[in-house]
Amino acid sequence: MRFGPKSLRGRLTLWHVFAFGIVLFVYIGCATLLQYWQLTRQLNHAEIQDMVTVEGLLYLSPAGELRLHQEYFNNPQAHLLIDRLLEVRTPDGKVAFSSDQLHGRTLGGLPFQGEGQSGFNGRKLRLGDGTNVYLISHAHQIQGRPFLIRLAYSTGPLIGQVKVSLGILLVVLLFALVAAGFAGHRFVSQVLSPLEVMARRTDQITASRLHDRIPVECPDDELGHMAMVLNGLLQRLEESFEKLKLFTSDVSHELRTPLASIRSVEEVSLQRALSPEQYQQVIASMLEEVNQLTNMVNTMLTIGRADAGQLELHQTVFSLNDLLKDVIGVVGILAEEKEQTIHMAIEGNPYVQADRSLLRLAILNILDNAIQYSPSGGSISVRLKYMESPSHSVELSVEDDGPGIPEQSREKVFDRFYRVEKDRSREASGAGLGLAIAKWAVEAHGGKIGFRPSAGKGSIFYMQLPRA
Amino acid sequence: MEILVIEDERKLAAAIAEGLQQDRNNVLVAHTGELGLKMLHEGRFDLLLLDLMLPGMNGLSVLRELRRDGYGLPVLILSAKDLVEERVLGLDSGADDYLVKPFAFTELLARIRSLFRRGHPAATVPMQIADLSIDLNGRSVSRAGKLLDLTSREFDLLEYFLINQGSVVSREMLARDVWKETMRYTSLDNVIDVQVGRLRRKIDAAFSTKLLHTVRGVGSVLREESHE
Repeated sequence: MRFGPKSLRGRLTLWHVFAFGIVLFVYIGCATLLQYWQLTRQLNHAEIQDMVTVEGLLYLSPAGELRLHQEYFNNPQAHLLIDRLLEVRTPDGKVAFSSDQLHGRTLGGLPFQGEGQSGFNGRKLRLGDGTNVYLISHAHQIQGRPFLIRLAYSTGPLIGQVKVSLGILLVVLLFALVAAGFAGHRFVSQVLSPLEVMARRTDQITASRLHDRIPVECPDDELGHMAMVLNGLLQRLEESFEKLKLFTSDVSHELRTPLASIRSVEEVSLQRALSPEQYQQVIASMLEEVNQLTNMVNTMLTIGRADAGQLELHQTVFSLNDLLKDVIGVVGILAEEKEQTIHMAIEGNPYVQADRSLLRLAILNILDNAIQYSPSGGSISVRLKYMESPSHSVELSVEDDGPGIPEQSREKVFDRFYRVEKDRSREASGAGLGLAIAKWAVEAHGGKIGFRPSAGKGSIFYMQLPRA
Repeated sequence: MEILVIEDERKLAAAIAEGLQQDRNNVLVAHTGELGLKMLHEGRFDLLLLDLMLPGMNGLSVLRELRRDGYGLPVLILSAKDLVEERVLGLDSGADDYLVKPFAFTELLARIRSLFRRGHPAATVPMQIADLSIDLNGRSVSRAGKLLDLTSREFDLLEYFLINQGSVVSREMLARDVWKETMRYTSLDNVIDVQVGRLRRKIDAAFSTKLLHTVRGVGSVLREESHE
């Protein structure tokens, strides 16, 4: 659970105002303390000066009473000193003189520890009626007799002055915070506006408009970087959607072709009465198409599961030579039919750790491909050798005697449904999924599959696999 | 033989019933699991063909209830689910065999035959047809007293045809039982066609009575037929 406004703009503004407020508040606090300290110092100085004046004006009357010379009151600045509180005590603590302004109050009680012993002692004091004063004391001899003179000013005017300036500063603070809020909001809005543009543009991008891109204003800043990252994501999405579209259209084409022939054969044959033999022919031809459809759906299901990562590899360790012999034992008969020769060049006896049936399928498809594309009476070479790089791996290659792969087909050979010779019948070459499955199977085992032109005009298909 | 088919897809159920009746069986069809169970309780059946995805009570529940009630009749599951885990689940729940849709009808017949062979091991198929005979121990084949030169694969193929003589054998069955393939792929179909063609040449070419016949779109069958 988070508090405060939901929008990033609101939160940023709030934080901004909060931080600004704290800084100003601390500043005002310091300024006020400084002002208070300075005013107190000024008061202290004034009191010391006044103390010197007062000491000059005090005298003992013939009756032994302590008095203040009257010219003091003629001082033109006397009104400034009207608040001055004066008290003189004898060293044993008895009050010898008390100014009229004290109205019977005393400035503290008996002399405190160390009072008047060195220069002017200053201290804050609270009088009996609650008045706060700043008191200084000084030991002084009047006509040879020692006295302790206490002089105090009320701190009220000083506090009042501090309060007024503090009030002004707080009002200014309030205005500053409001201004900071507005400015911060404007600023954050401006900074975040590209984000809003990005959000709006991204929102408009749908599966059918994946070619759209987000505008990048400053490629170097953080938002520009983010826009570019998003654009990269869109690019990849667009590519995989393209692939998917192509795959879907290929699939529907491959499924439609047999469906179309089933349908036309059926419709034509239902138009007139046929002999039982003819019906058998019709049904049998439909069945052939259905078988083909079934095979294709099964293959696509396998590919679909592989794509979704649902196909588990059941790995075992086995000899690649044995697997190769097994595969040639199966498809060798197709080469025999075309009077092709299969040459074997096998180096050592490498073992691999793999899903045997998957790898078998891959090798079968590659070998079958070579047999199909090599002419009758041609030759096919199967080689198995250890590789230097990457080390600890083995390469199985199949060289055919065929026409080679034309330039424009090279990138697509391993693509699904791709057939180099488009006009080949489907029965002869399958659905164009063999090499795609082989590629998937080899890559699922951390191997590499590819082809290169052979010294003749044919091609060499190879698969490189890590050894067990 | 009395066979019960529990299958909700009416066209498929009718086709299966029709095919099994042609093979001289009595077939009853139930379109729901509940009805099927009721029929099983009331009648006597030698075999149950069971679809897994049924409306209401599903196939696996039917199977479990059946086994819990102590019915021991063989059960063959027919399902479009082809994942290994699903097959294992079906077999673990008490089924005797599992066939993935779409299947070749010949395959269904072969599976049924094999289920009953399992129950009656004494009933062996004669290892000969017409004037062709096969010696399993010596792995040799002769026709009309003349020894035929077959490769190892051709021998296995002929043996399989002999076991299933009179019944059509599909490519799927050959791929699985003779080539021992776990996956289906187009090139294997070509291999099978070529291999069957060669076997036919070796056993039939020099004789007027042809034994190995192609049934277009379905497969091949080994049987004695004078004309062709």
